[in-house]
Amino acid sequence: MAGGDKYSVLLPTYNERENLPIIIWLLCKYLGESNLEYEIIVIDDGSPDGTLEVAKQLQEVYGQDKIVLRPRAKKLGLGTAYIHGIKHATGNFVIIMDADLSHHPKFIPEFIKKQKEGNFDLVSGTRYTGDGGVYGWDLKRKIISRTANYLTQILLRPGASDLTGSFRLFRKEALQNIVKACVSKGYVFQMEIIIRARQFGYTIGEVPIKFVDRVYGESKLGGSEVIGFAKGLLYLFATT
Amino acid sequence: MELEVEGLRMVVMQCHILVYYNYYQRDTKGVVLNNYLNHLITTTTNMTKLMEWLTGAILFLGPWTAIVTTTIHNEFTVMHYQEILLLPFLLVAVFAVVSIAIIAFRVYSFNDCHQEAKELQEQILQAKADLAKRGIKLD
Ligand SMILES: Nc1nc2c(ncn2[C@@H]2O[C@H](COP(=O)(O)OP(=O)(O)OP(=O)(O)O)[C@@H](O)[C@H]2O)c(=O)[nH]1
Ligand SMILES: [Mg+2]
Repeated sequence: MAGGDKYSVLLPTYNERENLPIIIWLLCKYLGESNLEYEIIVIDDGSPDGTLEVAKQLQEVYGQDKIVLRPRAKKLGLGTAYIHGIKHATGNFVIIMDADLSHHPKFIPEFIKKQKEGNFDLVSGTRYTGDGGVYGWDLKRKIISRTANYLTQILLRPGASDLTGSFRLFRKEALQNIVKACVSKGYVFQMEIIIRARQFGYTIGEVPIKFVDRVYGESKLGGSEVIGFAKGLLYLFATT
Repeated sequence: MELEVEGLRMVVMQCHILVYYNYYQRDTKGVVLNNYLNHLITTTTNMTKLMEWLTGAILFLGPWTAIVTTTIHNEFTVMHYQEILLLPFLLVAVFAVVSIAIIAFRVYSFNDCHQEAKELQEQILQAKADLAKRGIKLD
């Protein structure tokens, strides 16, 4: 059924000791049930909570072909974590997702179906259309998120409904080219991925996802995130 | 003459359809139109979004300033001077109101995935039990 395709899941982790076993268990469950060829690449940035030790235990359980560990010594950020991960990816497709359980692996088979349907270069999960949605957001967070999304749509006309999400499937070369062209960090980096994808002429498909805010660990959305986002949006508005 | 115009229209339409099918047919339904217009604008002008907005503003505010300062005037502009004077402010106000209405509606209709959260909680327990059997202890 796999048809020669292999999927490399990139899991960047920083202090995800509690979440990592669960997300890997879920990934193996859903990808295994779909008879897909896959590997999970864990990129841990020297988490002080011992995420890497847990990852090693999981590797013993699931095997070195399924769980690949590519740790780095210190916290160097998400963008470079993806670059680092891609270098070691052996699949022709790459899936990026958060390890904090806000992205449920059950959507991956839907991403793959969508990709095949339209032969897309990129399939992006979206919380903002169709059956998509969120759990655990209060009114304030919803207002901020919807406003930010609306402004982005008006100013950048990106042709994708969820710019700040980070649950996506790419053709490997597409992700490589896109990430190399990106300069931003954080939420803006996810946004820039879509903008650069359009500049390269890549096609984008979308799948509604249900986003459950992290159960374990700290979630952050403060004034500095909002300001950083506004700056990034204006940067992309003025330069692309 | 009329035939020629009609012919030209057909050619333009054909081109649009060609671009559309080669480039955006593979896109998701909801964003097709957006992409298509976007594609036309960005490929024909190759401007940054900022430049597009500035161009739009100049194209609109140029003639407006000329009318407001009566550099250009005719029967129509004299008769409707008040309305023309207020037009940009009116447009901004309408845009703001419509935007706020859209955002309010989207906040209100944002799906709350209670079912999903419950399912995840159950799966976390399953995962923990299964992993414990395989020798991975979680607290
Ligand atoms: N390797 C690596 N992973 C990171 C780094 N920063 C964040 N991560 C991981 O990237 C994913 C997304 O980070 P989160 O902290 O959940 O960011 P977020 O979803 O924007 O914010 P939250 O509301 O806190 O969930 C998680 O799996 C993190 O563990 C980093 O510097 N290096
Ligand atoms: Mg998160």
